[in-house]
Formats: sequence, C-alpha cells, structure tokens
Amino acid sequence: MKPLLQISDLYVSIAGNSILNGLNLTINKGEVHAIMGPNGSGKSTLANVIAGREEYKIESGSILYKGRDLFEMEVDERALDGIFLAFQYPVEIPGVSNSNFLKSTINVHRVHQGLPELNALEMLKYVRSKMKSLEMDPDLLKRSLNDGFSGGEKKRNEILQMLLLEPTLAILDETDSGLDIDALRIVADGVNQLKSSERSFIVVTHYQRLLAYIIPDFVHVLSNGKIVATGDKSLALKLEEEGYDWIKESPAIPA
Amino acid sequence: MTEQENIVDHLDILFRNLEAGLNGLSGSAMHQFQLKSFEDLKSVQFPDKKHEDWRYTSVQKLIAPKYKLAEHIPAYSIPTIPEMDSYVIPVINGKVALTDLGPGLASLGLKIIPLYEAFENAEWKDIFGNYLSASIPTSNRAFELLNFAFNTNGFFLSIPKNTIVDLPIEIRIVHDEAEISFSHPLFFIHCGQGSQVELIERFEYNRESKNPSAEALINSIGYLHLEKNAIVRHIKWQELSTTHNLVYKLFVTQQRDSRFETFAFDHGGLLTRNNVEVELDDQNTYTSLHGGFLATGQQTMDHQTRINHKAPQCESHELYKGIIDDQASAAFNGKVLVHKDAQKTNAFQQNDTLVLSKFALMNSKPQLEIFADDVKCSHGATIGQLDEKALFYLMSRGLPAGKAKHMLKKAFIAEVLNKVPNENMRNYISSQMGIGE
Repeated sequence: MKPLLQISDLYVSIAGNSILNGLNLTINKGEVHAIMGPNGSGKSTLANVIAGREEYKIESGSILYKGRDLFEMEVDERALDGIFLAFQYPVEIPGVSNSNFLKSTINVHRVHQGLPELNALEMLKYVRSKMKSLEMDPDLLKRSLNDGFSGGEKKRNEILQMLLLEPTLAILDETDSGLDIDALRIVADGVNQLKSSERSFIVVTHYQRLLAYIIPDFVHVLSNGKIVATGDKSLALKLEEEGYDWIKESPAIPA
Repeated sequence: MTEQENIVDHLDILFRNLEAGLNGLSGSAMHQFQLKSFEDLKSVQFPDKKHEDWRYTSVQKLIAPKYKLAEHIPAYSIPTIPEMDSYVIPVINGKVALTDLGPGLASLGLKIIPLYEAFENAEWKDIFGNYLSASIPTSNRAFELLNFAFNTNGFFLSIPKNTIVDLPIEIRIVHDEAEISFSHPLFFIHCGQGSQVELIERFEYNRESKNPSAEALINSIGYLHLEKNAIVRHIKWQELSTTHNLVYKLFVTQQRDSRFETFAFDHGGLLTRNNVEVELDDQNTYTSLHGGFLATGQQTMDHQTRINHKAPQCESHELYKGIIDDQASAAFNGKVLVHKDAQKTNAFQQNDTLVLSKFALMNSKPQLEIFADDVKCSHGATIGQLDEKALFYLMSRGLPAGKAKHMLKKAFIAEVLNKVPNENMRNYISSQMGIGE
C-alpha cells in the first residue's frame, strides 16, 4: 500500500532560521499520528508546511501526498484534494459571514468532487446537524468568521469545518490548547466521528490529555526540527511524567 | 496670455452665449447672482497643488479652456433600482426636469421650484440666499463660483415642518453630450423642523449614450439645511463613464437636535473630487459620514471632508474605506474643527485603505483641530494590503485565490456598505461595484 503522506529528509527555514532539520515521517491511510515536543521544536511549522503556508522556505527534501509532489500543489488544490489544517490560531475575518464562508467552501469541494452544489436550505440543514454534534450555538453562523469568537468557539469552528469538508488528511495544530475538559471531549468526539480506514490524522499537541480521547497509533517526539523518538500511546504518558529532557540524551528510536 | 487668462477668456465667451439665451431673465435676481459669481470667479485662481486642500490631486486639466456648456438632451436611461420605489428628480446636463416629476411630492406638501424662482422666494433667500451673498470668494471656492455662474436650471426643494417623506427622493444626475462639455447641477434642500427624509444622489452614465467616450466635467453642488430635530439620510452613488470627471460638493448645515447621515460610494469616473462640509450650528446634533470607493485603472478619487463643531454636545463619526489597484490614486483629507465653545464634543474619524498594486497611490490625512478642553475626539488612518493570513486561511479551505481575494475585498468595504440603511440601494451598489454575492 502506498503511504498517504511521505515526508523525506525535509529541511525548512523561515527568515534565515532553520526550523525543520531532516524530518522523516510516513503516514498510511487510517492512521492517527500524534506529534509532541517542546516549544519551538517545529511542530506548527510542520503543520503549516503541509497546508502550504508560503512564508516558509523549503530548503531540501520532499513531501509526497497520495504519491504526488505536494510542493507542486497550490494551497487551495491541497485542500480540495483532502488536506485540512485546524489552525492553532484561527484568523478573524470581519465582514465575511461564517455561513457564507462555510457555504462557499462546502460547495467548492462538492463541485471539485463532481457533486451538485447544495442549495441554501440543504446547506443549512447539513451545517446545523454538524453544529449540533459539537454543541455549537447556531447564532455563530450569522456572525463574521471567527470575529469576536471565544477561544473555545474558534476551535469548535475549526472542527466544524473539518466535519463538513471530510478531509483525507486532517492536521490538528494544538486544537486542545486552552480548552476546558468539556470542550476537549466535544472536539475529540468530532475527530472520532470522522475516523475511518480511509482517513488519517496528525494531532499536534503539548498535552497527553487529548490523547486519552483520541487514541493515537503513533506518538512522535519532535525536537530541533526532527523526529527523535517514536512510540505508541505509552510514549505520551512517559512524556507527561518525565518531560522532554530524557529525549535529548537518547538517540532516535526507529519507528 | 497666461493659462489663467486663457481660461477666463474661454469662460467669457461661454458666459456671453449663456446670457444671450436668457430670454427676458437677464434682469432677474438669479442672473444678477450669476454675474456676480462670474466676476468673483475671475478674481480668484483655480486651486493648484500648492493649496493645502488641493495638494494631492491636480485639477489643472479639469479647467483647461476646452468645454462647451452641455445642451439639452431629450431622453436618458439609467437602470431602475430593483424593488425600490422613490420620488425621482431628473437633473439632465445640469437642468432639472420639473415637468417629469410625478404628483407624489406635491401631495405630501413638498414644494419644488426652479432656481430662478427661488431667487425671488422669501424662504430660500432667508436660509440660503443670505448665506451665499455673505460668502467671500476664495480660490478654494472656485468650482462653486463656476457652478453658480453657469448653472442654468437648478432647483429648490422645501420639506415642510414635521413631514415624513414616505419614499426616498432620488436625484438622478446624468450628463451626456457629443462634444467636450461641462454641466453644473445645483440644488438647495430645506428640511423643516422635525422632518424626515432619505435623499439619494445618483451620478450615472446614460446607458443609451451615443457619445460615451466624450470627455466631460460634472461640477455638482448640493446644499442641505436641517432645521431643529430634522433627520436626513443621504446616499450618494457614483458610476460615471471613464471619460467623465466629477467635482462634487455637499454642504450641510445642522440646527439643534438634528441628525444627518451620509453614505457615499464611488466606482466610476476618471477623476472624482468629493467635498463634504458640515456646519454644526447648534447643540446636540448627530452627524455621520461614510464613504466607500473602488479605484482601478487610471482613476483618481479624492475625498475632502470638513466638520465644523461650533456648538456643544454634538457628536460626529467619519469612516471612509477604499480599495485602490492598478495605477489608481486616492486621497482622504478630513478635518474636524472643534471650536472653543463646543464642549462635550464627541468626534471620531477613521480612514482605512487597501492598496493592492505597487503602482497605486494613497494619501491620507485625518486632522483634528481642537480649541475646547472637554471633548472626546479620535482620528486614525491605516493603509495596507490584503491580509496574507486571512488569504491563506480561506485558500486552505479550498477557495481559489481569486475568490478568496474577492471575499476579503468585499469584507473590507462591507463595514461601510452594511451601514447603508436602504437595503435596495445597498444591494444595487454592491452588485454594481462587483462585490455582491
């Protein structure tokens, strides 16, 4: 089976500072990978590079997605082909209504898949049903996109988009940070709803807490821009107990 | 001859032609005013870029000796606003077509008369006439004086005390002429105590014009006087052809407890110069000025605003937002003056611009001059590009770059457009500006 995502010897810098230093990661269909690591280790950079953020400079290495060179694909093309990033800090866009935004994105995906666009009524029904499962206030649809949303509302709005767009590869960039335990459970339920043998997840997190709800197949530790340890969910527990210091002394553990 | 002498010489010939066609009105009060205005005009220079209020946009090419006075055209065509009922006042090539008015306004008790009659009218003289005759000619007023000298058929509208005008009054200002020409629309509106009205000024090109590429200058002036407690909402929409230039002035005076709001949107034209001046004569007034514009190609859009807080407890808000692209340029020069006696003034002023091309130019100068000591005032300006983070966010959801940029531009203007109180106008403007759904 061909891997869904294959990152090989990836070097990435921003403004002259190298962030990723020879990163290797292979993700197969249906797998959940957790990526943990200290601040500044390159976790968010990895998430943003996969989504296509332009301010990062790819120095060398490659990423293959479904066997295609990811760097040849535009940001929107990646999204249409199933890559979804739930942002750590979702941007507020005053003047763009949440409902119009969701409608446009859902329909652009449907058209890409050769499906007819949803009309206003079908759209409302579809969006409302997913909002209900995330216990979101339907009034958030009338507001501007993320504008004045609380931290928890923003994160749920990200998960809502993930549920609506049904990506093949979903990347959650610290979606759990700052959430109380109830919100965390709702977000995790959202992810678990989507889990299937055809869909993979990269869960970037600081905390083991989330991984009690979203059970990872692999836990990777990122340090200094490369993966220095890989294990199963017990690795997350060990990190929670012992911190990251022990990682720095031990050589990379192969997956 | 100097350039100024050339201009005066040319205007002299036009003025004599105008006088020859007056048909018995040559002794009228209006013609005396035209004569005086023309003499005043000759005594001042048209403003150049050395003038503080004209420094960002050169109007020299607008005043070259090349125009003829636009003549009567029998018909015009501009789109009706979908689903909007209104009282239409057509002003074609500077001349109000009073015979085309329906009976609606008169049945509400509103009086509308041509300007030459207004000059004999006690109400008009009392409010506007005295004010005009006391104004000193300056170079800043050159376009006004040009208008007064060459306006042939403006109008005066009087809205009686406590009258609520049930439909918007839609003033359609159209210019169409085969040769290089100018026209000088002029109106005066007296809004009686406790009256309430929505005024729409539409500057649009004639859709059936046989001469869409003929160069033109539309030099338009409107005077509004709000009596105590009057409420006026004003919408200006400009979609002229790309060979038309507009010098626009709206002059508003507000009496105690009155409320004035304006929403101005510019999309067409080659050079547009907007001047809005508001005099707050008495206490507890409310004023808000909103503007939105989209300048592309070679367009220039210059906004000048002045709010004169002369009395205490008045509140004013200003928000102008524009997007400029290609080689277009724009300016915002807003001045809020708070006089010594205008205590407890609240005045807020903001100008935000998106500059989308490296060849586009924006000048922004929000100004506050405060002579009172107990006021709340603020002013600010931002000039920037589309937010890259927002663009990335939208594209990361599958929206193509073009669509994502469109959404952001639309969102930027939406902050002012969404405030337009008339839904039909709001929809029409957003669709004409290409930022509709």
